[in-house]
Amino acid sequence: MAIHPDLLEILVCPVDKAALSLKADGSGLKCQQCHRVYPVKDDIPVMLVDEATIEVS
Amino acid sequence: MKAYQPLLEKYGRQASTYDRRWNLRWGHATMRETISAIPWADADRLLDVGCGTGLLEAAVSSRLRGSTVLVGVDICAPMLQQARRNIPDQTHVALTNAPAEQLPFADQTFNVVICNNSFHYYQHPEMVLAEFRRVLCPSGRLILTDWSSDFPGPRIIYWVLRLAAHAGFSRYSLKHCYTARELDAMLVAAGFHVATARKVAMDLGWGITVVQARA
Repeated sequence: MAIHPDLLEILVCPVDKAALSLKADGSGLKCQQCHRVYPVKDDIPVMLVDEATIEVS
Repeated sequence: MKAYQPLLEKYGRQASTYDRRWNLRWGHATMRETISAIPWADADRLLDVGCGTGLLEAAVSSRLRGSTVLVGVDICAPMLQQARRNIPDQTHVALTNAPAEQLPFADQTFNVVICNNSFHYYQHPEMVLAEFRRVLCPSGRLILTDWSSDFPGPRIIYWVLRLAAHAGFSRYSLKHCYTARELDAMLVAAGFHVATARKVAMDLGWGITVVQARA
């Protein structure tokens, strides 16, 4: 089962409240502003700042 | 979020047995009070903060219709995995892992915020209430139900757990068990308009406060 579509629509980055985009492989949600990537584990987005990585590119 | 480490360790270990241990007596009764306080007619986007094993989501999932969505948030990932197993119909239910102090939602996203039986854990309650108000629409409702220090049961349990933590028997740390009056004052300070704050007595001296407040 994938991330609920309604949840994808309303989730934002907890730091800057900017929009997120789902990575092509579904492994994380990336903030379009600060480039933090929040992992998705068992289809549950992990929106914990400490668990995010920063991916610039 | 270091303050939550003892809680994360405890609930991470207990996720699969938690419902059997704790929810049978007061957990279900508390949840029923919360569900009956939710303004269902006005609710199409609901947020449940501290959803734990998804007890409330499992109880209401079959009544959610149309475009209604109920989002369950918890800081403890294993509890959410248990919730995923517990909720029979997830058509209108979504889960995400986040702290109550820093919710991953834009301002004014929800018309109902639910906080069922978890407020005594929050290490920064003022921040949590500010987040609840931020993500609520201007006329949105907060339903907050929690252990009440107005009753002997929660008062005794709270002090026993505090003393045990203080003496080093346990790392488990609740933040505070509030009276109805304390909750009311905190909500008013956070900018909420408290519509009702009901004290509900249960068996064996247990009791809860059920608050309905407008953002």
